Amino acid sequence: MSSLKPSLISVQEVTKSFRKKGAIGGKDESFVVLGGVTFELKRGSFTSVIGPSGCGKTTLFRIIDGLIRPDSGRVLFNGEPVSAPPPKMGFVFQQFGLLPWRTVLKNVEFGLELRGVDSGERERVARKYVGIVGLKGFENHYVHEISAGMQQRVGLARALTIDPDVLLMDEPFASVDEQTRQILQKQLLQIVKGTVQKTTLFVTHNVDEAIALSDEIVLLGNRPARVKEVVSVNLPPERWTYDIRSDPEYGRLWQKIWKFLEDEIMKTGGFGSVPSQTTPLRIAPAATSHPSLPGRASEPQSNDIQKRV
Amino acid sequence: MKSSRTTPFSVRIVIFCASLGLFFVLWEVAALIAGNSLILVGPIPATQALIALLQNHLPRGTFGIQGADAAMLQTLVTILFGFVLACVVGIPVGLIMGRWKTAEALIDPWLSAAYSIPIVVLIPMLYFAIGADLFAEIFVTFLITVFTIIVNTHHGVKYVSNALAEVGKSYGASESQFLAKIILPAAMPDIISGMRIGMGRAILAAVLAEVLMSGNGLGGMMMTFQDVLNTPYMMAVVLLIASMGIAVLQLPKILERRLFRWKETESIPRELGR
Amino acid sequence: MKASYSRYIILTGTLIVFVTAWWVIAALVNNSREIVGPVQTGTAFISLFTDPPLTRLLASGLQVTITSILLGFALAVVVGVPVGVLMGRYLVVDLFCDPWVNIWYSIPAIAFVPLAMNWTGISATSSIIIAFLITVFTIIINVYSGVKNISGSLVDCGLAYGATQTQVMTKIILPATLPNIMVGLRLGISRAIEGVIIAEMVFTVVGLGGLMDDAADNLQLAFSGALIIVLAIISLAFAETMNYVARRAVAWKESQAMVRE
Repeated sequence: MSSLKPSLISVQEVTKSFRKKGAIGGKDESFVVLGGVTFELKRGSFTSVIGPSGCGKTTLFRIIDGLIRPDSGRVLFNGEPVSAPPPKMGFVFQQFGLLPWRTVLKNVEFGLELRGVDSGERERVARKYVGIVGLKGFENHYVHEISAGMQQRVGLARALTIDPDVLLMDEPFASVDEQTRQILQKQLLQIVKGTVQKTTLFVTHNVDEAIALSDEIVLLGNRPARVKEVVSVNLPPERWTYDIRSDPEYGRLWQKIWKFLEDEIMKTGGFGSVPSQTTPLRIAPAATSHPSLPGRASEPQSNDIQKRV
Repeated sequence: MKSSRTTPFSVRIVIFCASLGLFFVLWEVAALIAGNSLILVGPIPATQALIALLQNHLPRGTFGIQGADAAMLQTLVTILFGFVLACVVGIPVGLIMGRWKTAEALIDPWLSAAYSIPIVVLIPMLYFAIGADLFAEIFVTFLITVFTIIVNTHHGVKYVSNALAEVGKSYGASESQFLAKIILPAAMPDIISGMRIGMGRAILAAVLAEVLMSGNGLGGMMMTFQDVLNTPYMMAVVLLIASMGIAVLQLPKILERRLFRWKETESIPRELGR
Repeated sequence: MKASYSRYIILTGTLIVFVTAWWVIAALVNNSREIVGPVQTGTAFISLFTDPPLTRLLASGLQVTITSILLGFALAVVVGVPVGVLMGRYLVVDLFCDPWVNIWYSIPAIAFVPLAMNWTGISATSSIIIAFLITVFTIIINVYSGVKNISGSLVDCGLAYGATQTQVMTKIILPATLPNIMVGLRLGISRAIEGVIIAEMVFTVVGLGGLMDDAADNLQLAFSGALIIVLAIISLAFAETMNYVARRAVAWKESQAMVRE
């Protein structure tokens, strides 16, 4: 067996620019999204990549998993350069990417089906992972019959069935409401650190999520994006068993990372000025009462304009 | 049609029956206003003629024409064969167009042309080129239907969501796996919808070909009754043709809604093509 | 810009291929009672504009056909847009009209022809009626669909700011539906053209369709073909004009879901 390198994925000086179509009559502009990104994903680690929205995290993700090619630099996976989606990478997408005409079970079987695994074996493995993500009993439901949180768990199960060396997750909880998100985070950790033990690369824009989940956090700056820093998260393991947000280390990390994000976001402009974190808040005087607005007293339930009299 | 689903079925049936009754009343009134049974007859004579026709009783003065059952069979055969041919050709073409840009670039201008120009105008010319037998009519039906099918299939294939395409690529699907497991199922609602609309076109084409080319079938029969000024029987055939159109275009919608419930995520039914 | 040039290049290229194939087939068949080649058709086409009696014929036919198309279409718009809006906005109207719109839409154009013949004779008026019947339901369906899919929160916004019913209609619903109205118009003009042509082909004495049928009957297939080309040009002109108007009217909307039914 060849020597296992400590770095499962090695991102080396990856750059990428895009051409934007100019206005009619104008020229096409080229802008650099990734300006030389370098970091390592260690075997067994849960590493998050965080950066301001629009900084190119998703582009980076797609380069790492081989869906698009970088302009320069390369990505090594198990020592081999990535040129197409490697079979040993498992992906979980922000929009879930489930096939709506298939049941939960058939969706989870998808990866194995493409690899030609026979149907009895497929079903067995799929059922196992459906159980692991906590969806036992929902195997024959269709995608539109289950909630967003459940849909994303199907996506996770699907990725796990192909027994990947690494899990790549692109803002997987962004399409899910906050409460479900918190629960899914705990369940995810339980699975990838407890039940099945997977190295994970996790892209997010949510600071709380990054700290709660990761061993290491890669801070990605705004365009042209580069790695500003890699932060180690020194919180205890098995975080699903207690409330990490009460740990002072959490607060320290939160402040540090948010400061970084806020600086990056303000660079893009468009926000006017925002008081910095060190200015104390001032309480505004009590507002006078407003005249009541016309309209209906109750909340409309539907989007249906025929229901609006 | 979200609100239609939330209104109870019984209410909708009642309103529909009420407006149906209103329609027949208006029809009778219109016939009375016309006053001349050559121009328009009311629902009762028309229905009587229809029943007689379905029992294969032809009115006096119409010798030598096909019986109603033979006419109906002819028209149905023309429609079905033309339609099936159009699907056999049209669906693969639409698939290829949706999948490969070169094919799309080559064929698309012709599609737009076929949609802007009324291709029915070619029928008289075709009559001289290929005659007026059953095969000619089937060909005309095929020609008019195939473009609708191509356009709808193309649309369904082309707009398979990016998310699904990415999933396929990430999990390493080969081209044939991609086509069979992702593209075809995702495009199926549009393909089926295209087939439904195409059937409607096929009916129009077949009857029009019969009127303009051969004088057989239901189209020919309708014009024969018109020529001898037998309005009740003419209207009976019109009712037949209209019912075929209605049945073919509306009834499958119910099936479509059930089969493709997973497409509920789309708020607007994207139906294409005339 | 580059994209549309290549489109025209491809169009010309495939057109050349088509015309060549046509020429070959016509030469092989060699029977002017069955098929006429591109050369003769082209000559006939030119003579339509150079030979005064032919030009007069063409002009009168064109006038009838184009007037029928425009009138039928305009009537369909004037009736169809308000009906579609009312159906989309008011549930009562929707429940009442919905089955009828779908039913009348499904009837093939040819079924209307004999009845129109009886009512208004073999004339342009009948063509107009048929074109109207074919087009109006397409417009209604598209407008209806557009109105129904206006986000409820837009209307809520208006009501919250104190808009009256009329204001909601004119300031929120109509502008928001404009893209769908435009799509309905684009599809409608094609249907109107088809309706008029079907009517004229059956009547055989009216308009361009009639001229074409007449020429075919007299075995002057070259003229028949030439007239088809004239019709093709007119149809394309109508369609492109509609496309242009639609694009200009709704520049703010990036994508339009279509109900081309």
